[in-house]
Amino acid sequence: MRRVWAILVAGVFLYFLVGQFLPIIPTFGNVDLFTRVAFDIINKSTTTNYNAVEFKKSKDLEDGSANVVTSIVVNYRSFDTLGEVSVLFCAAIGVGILASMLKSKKRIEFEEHKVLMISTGIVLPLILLFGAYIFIHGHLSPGGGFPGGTTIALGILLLMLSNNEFKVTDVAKHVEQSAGAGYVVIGLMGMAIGGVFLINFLPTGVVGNLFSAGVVPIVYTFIGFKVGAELSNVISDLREG
Amino acid sequence: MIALLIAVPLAFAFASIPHERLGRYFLPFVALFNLVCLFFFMEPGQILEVGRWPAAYGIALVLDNVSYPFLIFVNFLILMMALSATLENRYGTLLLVLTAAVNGIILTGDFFNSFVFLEIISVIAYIVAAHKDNALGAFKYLIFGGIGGTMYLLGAVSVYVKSGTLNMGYAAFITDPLIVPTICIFFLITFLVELKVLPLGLWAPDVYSNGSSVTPIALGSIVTVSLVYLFSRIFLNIFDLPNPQLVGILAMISIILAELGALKQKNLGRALSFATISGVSTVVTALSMRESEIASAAYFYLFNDVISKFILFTLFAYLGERGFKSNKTAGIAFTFASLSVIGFPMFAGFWAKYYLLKALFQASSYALPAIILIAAVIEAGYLIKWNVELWYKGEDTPENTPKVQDGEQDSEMENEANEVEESFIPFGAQIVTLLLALTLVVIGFMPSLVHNQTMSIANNVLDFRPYLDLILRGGM
Amino acid sequence: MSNIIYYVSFIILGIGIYGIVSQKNLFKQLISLSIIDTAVNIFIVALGYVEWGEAPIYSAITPVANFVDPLPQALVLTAIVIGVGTLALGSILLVHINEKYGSLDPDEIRDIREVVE
Repeated sequence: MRRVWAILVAGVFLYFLVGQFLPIIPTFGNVDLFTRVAFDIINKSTTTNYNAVEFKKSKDLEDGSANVVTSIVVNYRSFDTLGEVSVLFCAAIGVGILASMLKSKKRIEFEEHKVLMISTGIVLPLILLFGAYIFIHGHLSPGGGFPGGTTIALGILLLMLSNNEFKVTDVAKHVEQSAGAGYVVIGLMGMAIGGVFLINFLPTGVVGNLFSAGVVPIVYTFIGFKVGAELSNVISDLREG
Repeated sequence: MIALLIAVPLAFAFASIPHERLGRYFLPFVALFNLVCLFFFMEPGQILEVGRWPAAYGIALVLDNVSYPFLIFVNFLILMMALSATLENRYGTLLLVLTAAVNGIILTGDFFNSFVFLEIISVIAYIVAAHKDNALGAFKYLIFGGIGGTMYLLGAVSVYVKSGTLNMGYAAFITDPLIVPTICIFFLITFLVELKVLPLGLWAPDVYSNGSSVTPIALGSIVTVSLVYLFSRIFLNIFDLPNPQLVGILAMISIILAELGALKQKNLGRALSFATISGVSTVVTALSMRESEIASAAYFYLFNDVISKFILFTLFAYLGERGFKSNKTAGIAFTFASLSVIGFPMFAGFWAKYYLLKALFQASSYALPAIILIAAVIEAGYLIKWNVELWYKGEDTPENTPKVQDGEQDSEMENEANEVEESFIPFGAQIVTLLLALTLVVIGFMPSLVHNQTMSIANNVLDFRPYLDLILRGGM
Repeated sequence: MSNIIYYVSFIILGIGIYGIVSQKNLFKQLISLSIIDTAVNIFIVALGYVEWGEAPIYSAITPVANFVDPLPQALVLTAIVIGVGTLALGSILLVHINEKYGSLDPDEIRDIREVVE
């Protein structure tokens, strides 16, 4: 009986999507970017006139990052990223609260394996370095704070798997808190310096250099540390019972 | 300046991590700070473009005549909750982020930004719902709420595809009668889940009846008010409901089913949660009719419903098992709140039902008034029964029936028992419930205080021109 | 048939909805919710595709700005993170339910609750 209901509900919803929703959206690939805001965001001309952006030559534009998705996430719609950081923050606190309320604290033990221990010693610094590279170069290449932080947390997970006595200490909580507060403080500094919350108050430099795009690399560094610390806390809470 | 309403609670939430109890002490001060900012430093009719990007490209926070009263009401409720609830562990931190998110969802003028704030509220709601060992109810809510959030995301993205921007003001320019209903069905599913309309609102009884002093108030009062605001903004101001009659009928069936469900419950918490479902479904039905008199009465009804349920749920959390023999003041507050829900003439609930019925008769709609009257009769049935049971709880126990045998010893023990029992409800909760009950009585005698405000909200929300002027004035 | 990617994401969405309604085990419902999130993310990224467009990053090999739409990609970044947060919370709630009732099947849970009451 449940299966009949399930097929009915899924069928009605799919019929609505294919019959009513699909005809009103443009066909795959047939998008005219000029009708969307994305055109001005790609050409970095939301407050200025249109001027083609050139890699390593255009200087002091309104937003200096070569990765357009980064410019949206951290510059144009930075408020959304602040909200997203809060979602992860609340989820990590929630896992912490609920894990500490469990009555039977069973720690998950892993089998020790010689090959894993030795290879972790070689691979772990490379993983952490790669994660740091991803969030430092967030404005030049794909990635940014969130994948970078996740890679760092994966390195911590590898350490947990290979070494049974490894514990994530309170340092991770302090890192998470200071990184999160740092993001809000940058917003408030923007309010103090530029008059508007979350304004980009550092000079934007040349598109394509490492030291460019104003506040963006700083914010992504904060987000990278925060996500790394948070996911490590979540994994450690789920493991310690 | 507007951004401080969101940034300050968030900053305090991050700052309250080192010590577990700090969040609980920060919360009343942050709510008070928000109220002071709203009353003395801000006026409706402002727009803040975050980061100084023009409104269509970036995010705009809008403070107009509709969001200003809602903001004051919500921050007032948070202040009351901070004084009356017992928060343990790190719930203070979560409630600080909830303050920021609820202010954000009322202020924002951008679809994806409201999705992000809606998800913050949902994540906090799942954690708060699991208070007092209620993981099963919280998980049911997680499944329902997860689907609702996904539908909202689909709706926001289809707005982007059709209008080229995510701004609410610019999205109002989509007027094609084939496109708007399709987009709005996505939003409608989300609101049916979150506003507890009955087929999709079945998570509510399990979540609100966990006997906690935080969950029903944070979710049932504060989050519901902000989501009713978002519902009015999207469906009365910017877009249109896809099929108003169908939504009205669905909500009316929900009212009747919720009242019948409340009648059969043996647990006071579940009965009150069914009463909440019926109250919010009434508001949704009234709002779906798009008349300014009816909408104003709907906001008055929401005001009365939220404050009464605040008192009822707080007192249920503290005194649900013990009855009112030793807490006469708390009992009086409970009785006042139940009488206000029923609609007794001395309280705010009477004026709420009166305005709603009068506006409906003027609009020649007779189905909803009939259902409201039937629902009021059923409410009177079970609320009076619960009141009698709680006032006389413990009267039939053997210790009270024997006549005075050990004279003074007996009265001494009773005095001690009274003193010990009085401390079960904290002082803050007593003050808050008394204050809110007095508010209900005062509004019962002077309804024009609230009625003028709700008339102005309803008139402003049904007219999209002031909102568009405010956003487009930012230039493009 | 150029819309095939839309149909694929709708089919995955349908599988997810079928899973939530028909499966009784709570953990399978959580995984179905995660499948729905994935399907919606695929659909949103596909909405931004411009034919012959390239990844929206200025670099030495893309001198002319012939990019796909970057805004849906930014939206999906946020949506994925929110899905992860929900999944983490759902998992810890399931650990609680399993500890309290001993199983994750709603029929067995209902029997245990009726015995307690």
